[in-house]
Amino acid sequence: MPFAALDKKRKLLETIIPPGICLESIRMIVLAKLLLRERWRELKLHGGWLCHAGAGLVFILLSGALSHHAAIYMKQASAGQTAVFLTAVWTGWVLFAALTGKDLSWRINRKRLRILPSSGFNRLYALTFLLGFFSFPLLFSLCVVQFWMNLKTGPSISGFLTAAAGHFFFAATVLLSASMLRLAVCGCKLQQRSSKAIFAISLIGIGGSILISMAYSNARMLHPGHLLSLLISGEACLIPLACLSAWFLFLFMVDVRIQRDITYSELGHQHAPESCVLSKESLLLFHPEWPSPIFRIGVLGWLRSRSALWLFIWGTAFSFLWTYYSKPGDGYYFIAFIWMNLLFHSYLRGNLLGVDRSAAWIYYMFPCRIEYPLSSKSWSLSLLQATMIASLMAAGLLQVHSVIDPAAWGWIASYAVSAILCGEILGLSLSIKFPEAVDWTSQFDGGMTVGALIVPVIHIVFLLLFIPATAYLRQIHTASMYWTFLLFVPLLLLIARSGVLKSWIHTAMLRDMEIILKKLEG
Amino acid sequence: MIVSVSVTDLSKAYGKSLALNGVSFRIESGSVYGLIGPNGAGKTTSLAILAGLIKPDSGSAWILGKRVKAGCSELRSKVGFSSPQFPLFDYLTGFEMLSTFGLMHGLPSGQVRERSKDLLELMDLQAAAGQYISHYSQGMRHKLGLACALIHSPDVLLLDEPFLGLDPASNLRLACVLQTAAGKGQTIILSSHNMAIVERLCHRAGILHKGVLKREIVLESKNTPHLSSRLSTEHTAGLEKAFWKTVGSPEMNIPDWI
Repeated sequence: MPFAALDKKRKLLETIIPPGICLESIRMIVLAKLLLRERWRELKLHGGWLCHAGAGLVFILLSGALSHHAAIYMKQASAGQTAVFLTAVWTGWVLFAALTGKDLSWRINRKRLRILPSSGFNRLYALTFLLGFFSFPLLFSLCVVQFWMNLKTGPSISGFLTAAAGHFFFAATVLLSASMLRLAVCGCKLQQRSSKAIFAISLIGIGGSILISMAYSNARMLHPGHLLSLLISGEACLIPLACLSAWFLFLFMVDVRIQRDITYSELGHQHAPESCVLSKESLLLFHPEWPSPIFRIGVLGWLRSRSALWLFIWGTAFSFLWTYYSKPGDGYYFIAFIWMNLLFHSYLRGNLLGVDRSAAWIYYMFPCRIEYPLSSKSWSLSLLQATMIASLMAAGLLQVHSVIDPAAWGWIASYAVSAILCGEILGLSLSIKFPEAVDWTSQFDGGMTVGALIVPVIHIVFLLLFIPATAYLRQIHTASMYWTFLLFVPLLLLIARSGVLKSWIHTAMLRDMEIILKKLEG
Repeated sequence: MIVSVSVTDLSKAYGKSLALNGVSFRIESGSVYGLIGPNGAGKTTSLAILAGLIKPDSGSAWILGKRVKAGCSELRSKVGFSSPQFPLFDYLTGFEMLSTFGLMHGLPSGQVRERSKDLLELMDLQAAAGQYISHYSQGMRHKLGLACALIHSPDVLLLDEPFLGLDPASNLRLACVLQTAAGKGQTIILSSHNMAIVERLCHRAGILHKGVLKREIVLESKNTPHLSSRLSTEHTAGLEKAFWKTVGSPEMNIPDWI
């Protein structure tokens, strides 16, 4: 902003508000404009306007489709049923954000802003928190809530404002709760004793409220999901809004305190204990020919990224335990679970070089074909996914092997292998086209890559093609044809992945070398 | 004299800004060539083109008789590259990073272990060998990057600002390593703002300015005593003498394989 224009605005503002506050306001406005401009340039670098127009279109179409189906069901839904649904959304959103580091908002690294002449941490926090709502998914969910409110109470200005406030408080409680859980997941250390105490109490409070709301129906009354359902069903307005804002205020104050401590300390990093040196040494140097060092550092990279590690632990343990104790009766359960496991990894799959950031130049210096490192990274992620699926299948084989026939197990295995290979093909192409730096040490690694949006959509399309095709073959054709199809699909994908794609990756990685490295600079 | 590195009419533009404009030079085997020039003169771009990390808009670069092309894996095993502008995998420990480089260059695991330990000691990074690179300071990262470039004893070393941010002991140790490597026939191209080191270490220096190689200077004969002899009191004076007296002379155990 030109200084003359800034001075003019300042003088104008000083006639209305006191000079001290005026200066702070101008600083905040300038900072907000700076951050928004930076965000826009970053988006342009990573996808261009066509990509973001595409993403916007996908969200509008999704919003339309969801609204249409929601209208059919929600008209009949009671406030109680809506409350159950919204409570589940709240819990799922918090857990997803805590595990993946993606809470669907725009996360701004406050440590980077410390150097600016900002006016205190509280204002900086408030500004970055509010800017966090400028993200596609949060704006999309606001549209859905507005639609919902209109459906229940009819269009009105007060209804619009209530729904907007309800959405803000609901989403804010998710973001703040996720922020605290994420701190615990990342193992960040706080400096001050009081912050540690507040953090521990808040964590217990959040965890307790999730568990209590899941276990006791009466306790759900104070859950943000239940409060939002009361708001949008029009049953009550003031009390739910007051309770939601109280929730928000409490979490906001706690998070401000904790984030101040984290922002002005350098303890967010992770240390490798000295005692690990030997084991790590042997991991790389033990039998060095196979698997290749690139594959091994690929696995290490995933396991050292907190998000990928927690997803892996959660996916493996949850798949096994849930299946073992729920004793599912048919193959569709397994297909759905495999799909869900693969979906969680979408943002890693679609951005394989993200964790390497600009160090990806090293791959261009290794004396091997350039497609090999990327391919190895992809296989290393597939290994983690296969382990998660194996734990699911192991629980199934232990519990329900007699209920599900061999043909169904073949069907499940064929889907699992095909879906992993489908993810590989997509992931490799998207990782070259839309790479984005991921800060594996940060509390939140920011943004949403294009790959994270496209991979789930293609997984849904693949599922919608695979299930009807196999069902048709099983009913109409012979067993031999059915089994041939189950073998043919993964084989075809394997050929596509190893043969056709290999030469494309080689050409694309060399052709776009400078663009890839530039995008990965972060 | 055998020419190891040859650059002919190299040009590169970033948008409208011309980083290199028709740069040409030739470097003989076993010599140290210094690229000097102000910030933005095109030093890093020249070295990155030679490393195959940036494609030139026109002109050609040749190393050991082979044309440098992005993706030419044959040449990569003969070249070592380091630059503070090109970071390392920060989710690995220092030891793992070095081992990965060694293994990727086809060294047997025993040799990788041995050389990694030698280099970590040489760069004074033994204590941090088991720490993630994300926790390294800028200087430590830089030293590790240099070690990665050295581990496979490449025929040609391309070093961008190798002395940037190094403490005096590391500075001297690195200079000795480079002098030893050149003495054994390795060709070294380095860029630096430190004129004293370039003058002491290089056989020739090229002055780059606004993407143009303005001048090439042949520096005095390098039959001078080894740089490690600078630690002896008769060669040092003033502040440097006081410094070494206070902190103690650094160990100069340069491994035989370098």
